[in-house]
Amino acid sequence: MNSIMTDKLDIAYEEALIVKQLNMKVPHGKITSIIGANGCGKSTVLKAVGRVLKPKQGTVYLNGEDIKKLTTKEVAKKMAILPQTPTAPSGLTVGQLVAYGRFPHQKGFGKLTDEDKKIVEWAIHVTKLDEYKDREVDTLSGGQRQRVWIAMALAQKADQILLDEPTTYLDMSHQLEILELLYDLNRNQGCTIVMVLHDLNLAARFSDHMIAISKGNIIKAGNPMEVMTSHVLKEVFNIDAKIVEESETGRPICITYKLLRGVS
Amino acid sequence: MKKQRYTMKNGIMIIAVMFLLCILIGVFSMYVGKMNLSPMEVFQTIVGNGTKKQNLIVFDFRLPRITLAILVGIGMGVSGIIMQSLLRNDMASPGTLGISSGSGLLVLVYVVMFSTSGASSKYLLPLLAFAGGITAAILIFILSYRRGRDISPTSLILTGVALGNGYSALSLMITLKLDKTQMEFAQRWSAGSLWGDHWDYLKILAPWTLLFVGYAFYKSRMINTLHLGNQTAIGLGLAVKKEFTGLLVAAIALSSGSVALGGNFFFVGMICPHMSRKLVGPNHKLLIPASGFCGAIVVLLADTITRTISFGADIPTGIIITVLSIPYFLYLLSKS
Repeated sequence: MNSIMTDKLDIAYEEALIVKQLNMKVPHGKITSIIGANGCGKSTVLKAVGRVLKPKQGTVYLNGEDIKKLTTKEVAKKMAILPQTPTAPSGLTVGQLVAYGRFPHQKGFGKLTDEDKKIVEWAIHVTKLDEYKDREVDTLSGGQRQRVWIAMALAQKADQILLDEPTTYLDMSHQLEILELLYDLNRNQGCTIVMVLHDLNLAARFSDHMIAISKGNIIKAGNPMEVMTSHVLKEVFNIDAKIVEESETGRPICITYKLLRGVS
Repeated sequence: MKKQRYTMKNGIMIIAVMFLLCILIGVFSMYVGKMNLSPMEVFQTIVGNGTKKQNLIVFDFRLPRITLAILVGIGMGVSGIIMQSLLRNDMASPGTLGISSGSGLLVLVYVVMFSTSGASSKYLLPLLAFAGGITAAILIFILSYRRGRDISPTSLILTGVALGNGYSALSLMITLKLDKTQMEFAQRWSAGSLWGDHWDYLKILAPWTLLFVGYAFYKSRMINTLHLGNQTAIGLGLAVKKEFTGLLVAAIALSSGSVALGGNFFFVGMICPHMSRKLVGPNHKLLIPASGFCGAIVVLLADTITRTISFGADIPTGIIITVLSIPYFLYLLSKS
């Protein structure tokens, strides 16, 4: 079963068509990573699915329903999106920002109900932010801040979470920490995760499903073993990559690569 | 563990203090002016035992002026906080969005065309000033609108600055042709003179201001969300285009109303949101009333000062505000 599906999606900035006739499927309850070179349209696809960008043509289906036929509030209850570099207003505490995640469930003036408060507590607990609850978001480190935004998405109680490069600007250990958190959310809280990732090895290690995009077209979609092949990477990144199976995780890993010249 | 800087409780306390301060200055302001009245005399007049002259001073001069100062301050303060949060830019204000220079231009046109001919009705000037502000704002939006793209704060502000300069140039051209009395009125207007202190005007401005401040306050949850950025707001299920437009219209309506009767008080719209953020934090449920009261206090205080201390000439209120707030503004810049 697919939680998100696109049907012949055309996406354009102004007049330039970035993505043409895209048919993409995101399996339900899995972690899906979209990979591709800079400017290939992977973030664009994520934005169109998350209705931040209006596609020129085609349809996005969320759990089988045409996203255009749902109100943006209804969509927000089913799908949360995190932009690449969200910013929090200065002075806002972790608890307050996470509570903003309850927005689509609130009415009128928006006083937090007991249930809202319980969900906010839960989101903060799952992301291991309990001790930071009253800290101001802009005083936290990059990794902690990213966890706060993920907590806000969780408080939305959406089954699907879309993330645009959630590990950008983070060091190796914090990248791992974020991806392990997302893995935990997927396995234990049943969230379907869709993200754009730059690091191929991390993508292969944490994803159940990968989608490789080049020039707005899907080159290959499937499990990491099928997508992380030297053939696919050659087509997507124009590199000659050496792929082996990493013994500890059993996942494919790219140990070294060369730039291919004059082929593209 | 570090204590939370901003809580709801503290915020409400601060707003209550601001409200009291506003009333205190208002009461004090009743006593002072060119014709001094003792507190007892003012009190007697209010309860209905004043002489004809005292009645005139209190009910026809002081009270409407104080009311106007408060309304203009609230309008500018709330308009400023909405604009800054929607555009996520601390420099955004009714001034940077060209509303000031737009209405200034039409005020000049009024001065040239009607003030001498006597053809004016008393509602024409505020209407023209209002129309000028609204037109300028709409023009800025049309010019910075790109099809299929979100409204970009930067392009709005840049267009506003560019158009503002254009209006100023046109204004200057007209100014050169004015005679001395016309010139004086135009200059006093643009410095912020609180000229429309007449109950007939206030009867319109008061419900106008209350309506849009009420709307903004009711929508404070939307502003909180929009303040996180358009993409995040969409993700949270906010109808961004609709709410953004509605709130911006409210902000423009508020500042145009204030400009029409008060004159140029845009510094209030830039400074008060800053101060309120420092005082009550980022929650707009607190920020909107705080910024409104802050504006009221600043305008009222400045007006009281101009009426208490003689500067040798009749100084417009706006000048005092600008002079007083520039040090604060420089302090802000040096800290950021």
